[in-house]
Amino acid sequence: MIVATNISKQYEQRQVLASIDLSIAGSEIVGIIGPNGSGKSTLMKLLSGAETPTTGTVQLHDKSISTYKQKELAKEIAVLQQDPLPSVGFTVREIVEMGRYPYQSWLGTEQTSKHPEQDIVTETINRLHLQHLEQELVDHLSGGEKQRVALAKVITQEPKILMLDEPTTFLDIGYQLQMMEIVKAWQREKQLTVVVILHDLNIASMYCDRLVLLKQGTIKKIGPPASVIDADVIASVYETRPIVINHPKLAHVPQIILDK
Amino acid sequence: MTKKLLLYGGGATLLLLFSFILSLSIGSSMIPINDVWSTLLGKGNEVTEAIVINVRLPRITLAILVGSALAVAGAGFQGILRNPLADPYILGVSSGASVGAAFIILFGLQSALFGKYSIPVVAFITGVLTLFVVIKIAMRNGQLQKETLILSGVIVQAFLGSFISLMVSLSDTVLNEIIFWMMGSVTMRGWEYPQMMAPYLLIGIIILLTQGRALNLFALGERQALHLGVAIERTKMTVLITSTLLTAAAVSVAGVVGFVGLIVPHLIRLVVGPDYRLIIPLSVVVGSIYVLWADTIARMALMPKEIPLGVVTALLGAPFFAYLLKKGKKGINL
Amino acid sequence: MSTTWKQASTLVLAFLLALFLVGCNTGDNAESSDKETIQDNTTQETEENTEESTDTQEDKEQQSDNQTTYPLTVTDATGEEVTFDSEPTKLVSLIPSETEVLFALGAGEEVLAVDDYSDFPKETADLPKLGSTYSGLNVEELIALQPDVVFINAGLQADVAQELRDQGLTVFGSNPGSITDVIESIETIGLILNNQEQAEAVTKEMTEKIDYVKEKVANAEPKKVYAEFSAGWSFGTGDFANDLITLAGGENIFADVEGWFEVNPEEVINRNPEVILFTSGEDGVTEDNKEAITTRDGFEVIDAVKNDQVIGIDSNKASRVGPRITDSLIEIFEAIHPELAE
Repeated sequence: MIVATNISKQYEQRQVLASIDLSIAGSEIVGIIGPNGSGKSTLMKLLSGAETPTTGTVQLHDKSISTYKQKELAKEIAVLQQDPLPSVGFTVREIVEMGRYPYQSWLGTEQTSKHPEQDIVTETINRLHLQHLEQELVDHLSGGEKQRVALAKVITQEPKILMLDEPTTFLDIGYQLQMMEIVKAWQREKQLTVVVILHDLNIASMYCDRLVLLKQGTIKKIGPPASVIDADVIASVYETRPIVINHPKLAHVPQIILDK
Repeated sequence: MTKKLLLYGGGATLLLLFSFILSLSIGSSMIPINDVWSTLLGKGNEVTEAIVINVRLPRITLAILVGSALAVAGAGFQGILRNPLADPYILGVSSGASVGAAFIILFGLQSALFGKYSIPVVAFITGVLTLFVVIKIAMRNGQLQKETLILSGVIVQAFLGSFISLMVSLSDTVLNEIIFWMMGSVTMRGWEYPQMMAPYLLIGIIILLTQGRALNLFALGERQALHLGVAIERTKMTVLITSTLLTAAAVSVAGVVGFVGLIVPHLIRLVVGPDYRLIIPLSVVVGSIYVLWADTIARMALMPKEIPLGVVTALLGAPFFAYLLKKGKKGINL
Repeated sequence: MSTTWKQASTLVLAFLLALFLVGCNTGDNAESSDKETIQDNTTQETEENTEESTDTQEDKEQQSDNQTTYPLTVTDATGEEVTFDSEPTKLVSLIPSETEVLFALGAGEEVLAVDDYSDFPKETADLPKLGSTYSGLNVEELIALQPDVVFINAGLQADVAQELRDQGLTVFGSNPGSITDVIESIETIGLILNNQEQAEAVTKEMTEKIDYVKEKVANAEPKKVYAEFSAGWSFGTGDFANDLITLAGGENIFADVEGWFEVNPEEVINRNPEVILFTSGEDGVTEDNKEAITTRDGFEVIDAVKNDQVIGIDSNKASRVGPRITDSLIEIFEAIHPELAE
């Protein structure tokens, strides 16, 4: 689906990414991990078409991603950002409705069926248990609720590829897991492709089908969690050696334990 | 949303209609409503007709057009720049237009270049040119950062401001026409000015109306908007240029009428919330009402003297705005 | 000493001749004047000259006949007592009206420099220009000229007067509020410059013009006048031009307002003036200025426009409170009452 061929990105004199080859296809959850400054967010910007690579190409469905109109691209790829929704006075429902933007004509209506936007908006709000907050201002919600609203917005966007940039950063562990569960369930149901940047290696290991480990702008290791979450590999990238064990309940899910 | 628009929009339109008729009826000679109507139908006496149809009606019309243009342009600038201080003049359009007008006045070219339209035509051109200079300075790698844009606007404005001061000091009349031009007025402009302005206004408003949803997404941040399908740079350019054309059109015919573009969109936001699908159309109507009343006060308060329109809009606006700010609870976005 | 004495007696003789010519109409008057001046001639220390009765400000004790005695102390319109130790011969004027006064008094040769707007008479073109109150005065250059006296308008340039006095310069400010004030002011300046003869001549001519207009309009019904001396602006009482209009047999439609103001066009239509005055350059009417008024929307119903009584007058003459103010009066009178003009 998305094929990045030999892409690199340079800001002024600083090389952020260099010769990355990455192919993401079909229904899978791909986790991007790596230390701070390894180029995770930049890679996602290039894959989502927000920025163009300095060299190399990113193709979406065998077409250069830069040739897509912004609305067409938004129907393919939705991005959930790390920073919470700003407090600008919109209600929960208004924010969720914004997900329909790519499907609306300039008059603000959708042509397909009678009121599809109302259906999917209501459906998503119910699905994420936001009914009781529907008319609340987003400004008054907690961080976890805000992130749920943001997720509802990208779900309403009905993308084929979902990209999440550290979606759990500002959340407590309860919300982190809840968030990932929702994403996973939705991914399975709609057969989506999910690309997610994660800081927490254990969560990455638990939820991702494949992991891409970045170090200083290059791919250090790519493969299923079992092959990436490895004491030697982690040590070579993070400069600290953890203890890696298998999750006691889940098969083939390595977890790390920090070691001094 | 639609319900809200019908409710507030309908209310505001009724208020505008009421204001229009009331303002048309009051003035130097109080003309009863009946006579106003019979005059409008062509049955008035000569003097009433001259006053109502040839003096009052065109100036009221111009006040309405200028008000709606400035208010809707202000909404556009606030939406794109996401800055509470944004108003139609923030990017130097008014300074640019003033430079053009001051130049014409200083060198006495009022009827030399484009007949009696010299001031508006030149002010319009210099106003629009200013925006392009500002954009040119602010542009980095084909992108406009709002902070850079505002800064660039401030710099250009300061430069042009000193230029205007220079021309004011060079001007040798006791009644400094440049200063009075800059204080804004819609008097003695006849029907030509409203006619000249109306097409820009109509096109500009229609374009901005189509940008309401995109501006809503902008409020979430440019990247959010991008990923929701908004063509960021194109939208910025569309809204900036349209708002600038509206501003330049207003300033070129009426001088620098301040505060309208700042206060009206904020006022609407305090009442109906942040939705630009409401703010833009309501700005058109409320801006009209605001300047219509300001001008009515300008011509009535010290009869037979006129007060500069820009003075009234600011005198009325500032305290009213402060009151709203203190009182408003919902959806304040400053 | 003896040359001064000779000069003085020549001037006295000239004055006597002038008095005699005026006095021919009224024998008694001439006789008594004659007597007085002869007395003056013989005994230097006598009472004030009857002809000088209009002078109010100067220290009259020092004055006798047509020669100014220095030191002379006068109180100017800024309220300062200004003392002249000797006859000032190095003059500067910073306002067009006073420049015109100086030249009219025959002191043009003694004027060292003027402000940017002083453009009458045409000899001023060759004089150094010192800037203007609006755009800034070149004070350094002014001080370098070491003038004996600087003439200003106390109403418009009070702060300039203060600044120059702080620099040690002698400043004389006038601020005439009426046409008789202008005449008095010219007489005072004539006294300061020891040019009393010329002052007499100038003021006499001015008085005659005023009398001519007064006599003409004495029995005429005042006409309603709207004066637009700057686009869209008019004035009410308190402005000099308002007095001119009244003197010239007109009635300013905005006499109920004070000072200058931007006018509401509805009110002009409503008050329906019979004559509209506007200002234009010295060459008279410019069609542009006239058209701007006559074609203004709604103005077509005004009587003045209907009857083509929209008349341009010379703006410099009308606005400068100098010797040409009476010319302006005649111009305005002829504009308002063309049927009475000869």
